[in-house]
Amino acid sequence: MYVNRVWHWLFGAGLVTTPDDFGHVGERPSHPELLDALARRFMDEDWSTKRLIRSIVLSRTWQQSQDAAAGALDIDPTNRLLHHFPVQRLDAESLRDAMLAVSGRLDATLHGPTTNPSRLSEDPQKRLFSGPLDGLGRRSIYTKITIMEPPRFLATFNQPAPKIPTGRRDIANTPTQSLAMLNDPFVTNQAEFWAAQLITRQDASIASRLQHMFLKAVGREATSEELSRWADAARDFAETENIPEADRLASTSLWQTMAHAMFNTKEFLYVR
Amino acid sequence: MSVDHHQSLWSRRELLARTSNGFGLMALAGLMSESQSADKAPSASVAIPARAKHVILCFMDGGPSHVDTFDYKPELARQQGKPIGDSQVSKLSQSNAGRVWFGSPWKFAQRGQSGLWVSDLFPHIAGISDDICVVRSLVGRQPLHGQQNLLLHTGRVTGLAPSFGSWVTYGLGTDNQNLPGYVLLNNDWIPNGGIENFSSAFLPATNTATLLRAKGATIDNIQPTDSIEKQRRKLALLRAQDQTFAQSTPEHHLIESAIRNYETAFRMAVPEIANVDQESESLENSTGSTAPTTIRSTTPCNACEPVGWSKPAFDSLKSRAR
Repeated sequence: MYVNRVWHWLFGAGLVTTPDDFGHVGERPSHPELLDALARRFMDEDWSTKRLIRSIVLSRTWQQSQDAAAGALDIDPTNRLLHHFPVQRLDAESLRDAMLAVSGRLDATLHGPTTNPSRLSEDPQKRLFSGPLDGLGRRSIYTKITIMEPPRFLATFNQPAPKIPTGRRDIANTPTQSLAMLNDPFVTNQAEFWAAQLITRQDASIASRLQHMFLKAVGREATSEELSRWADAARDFAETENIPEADRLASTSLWQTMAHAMFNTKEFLYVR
Repeated sequence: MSVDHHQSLWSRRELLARTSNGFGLMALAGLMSESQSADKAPSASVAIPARAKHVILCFMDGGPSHVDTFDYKPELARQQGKPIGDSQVSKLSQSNAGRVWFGSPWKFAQRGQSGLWVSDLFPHIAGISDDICVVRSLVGRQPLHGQQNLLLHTGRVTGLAPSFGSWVTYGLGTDNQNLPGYVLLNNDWIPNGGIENFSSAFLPATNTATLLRAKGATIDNIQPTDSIEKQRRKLALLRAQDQTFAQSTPEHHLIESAIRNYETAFRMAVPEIANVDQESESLENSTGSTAPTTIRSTTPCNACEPVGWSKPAFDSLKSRAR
């Protein structure tokens, strides 16, 4: 059960795709011998989650690219046999943490007190208090959770209610999430924070600034086509706001817009 | 709520328009019901055709007690002021033998042909007693607000079960796949028991209540932070960027559906679309009836969650009880 969950967390789907139900209405494992072998190894290695994760991520299966081989999708359209590494949406906490990490606001301190999520209104009788918008840069795992009202941003991205163990989260794909990425004050706040860092950099050109942003946000270099696409957009935004060419590398407003757009790319939201 | 042939403070249309801060927005919220993990909403075909097409649940938290309204207890009045005694002490509540009985100060009478007991506290309801149904079998054993709210909404004191409205939408389906089946009108106020009162639990996520706020922004993040022009340019950039990404991945359907959601989100955030007056007028004109058309044509279940009663009578009762 546990080994299957770890597999599920790593690949987005378990060897048994119903991690909460190994009973007769649950799905059968796609690779029963593998599941048994991993479970045995897990017990032999003192129930060490760290070792379990290490043995999975050192496998060739984990290290595959996200490209599907020709014909593979015809034979196994749902990728049950893991012929490529599946694209996965970041879960709620990872998404929030990723924005903090990219903007430079992340406080990586381990342990310490929890912070209240930012709320629209407080209700002391129900112990609903509001915390700072950026949660002091603390990782999402340190967000205070109450069963009365979940943290809005995290719940929007399917952080489950805290009352029952949830082996498999819903991965809803809704316009509410798009609205959150476009308009939630946390996202714009993090874009602003990132912009403040960006304008202090000694970048030679708009293009090299953009190249830095691609590396930071999606972990790869931009293609030349992408660079010109984003540079065109930066020029349009700057012209609309009447920012003279000489001031563009130092304009917080311009780079907040670009940072906000970068957070809103699907490549940021999905891992491959 | 308007009570049929009686004079009401608000017309039904006004109520809906005011309490939802733009009921037309409900239509937009409907666009939010697409879920990758949820199955399609079941169709409305069932063995026994249901006559009821829509359910409106008004959960009036903090309302007057049943013994002051529909539940005639003459013995309470006779025992008025006497201690309840050891035999009536309950482990479930925080009672003790020294507490005293308190009868209702309201006069009760049987009303209409049905002989329904209604106190003078509700004169209008007394006048329509033959048109309403009073359920007396709803009994809770734990004197705790949260647990009882969950019992009422989900059928279990522990929650973890689908909300009333989730079952209704799951069972009835919804006429219009573009609209949410289950809409919750609320005042930024979470009842005891929490959001779980409206959760779909183990039913598909599309059966969870779509929450519309009565004050301020109806839906979270509906107010755009950018000017429309700027957002349009940003989305054009994103569209080009995301298409490239979608094409490069075997799971392109996921990415494409996320791209579509951005378009929907953009349309939702345009203020003109959210104009309730135009919306209601056009509905009115096209059907010849008033605003509950929105309910009729769209949502099997509405739960209204008012902040509580404006309850001078109830408050004076409480002060007398002390």
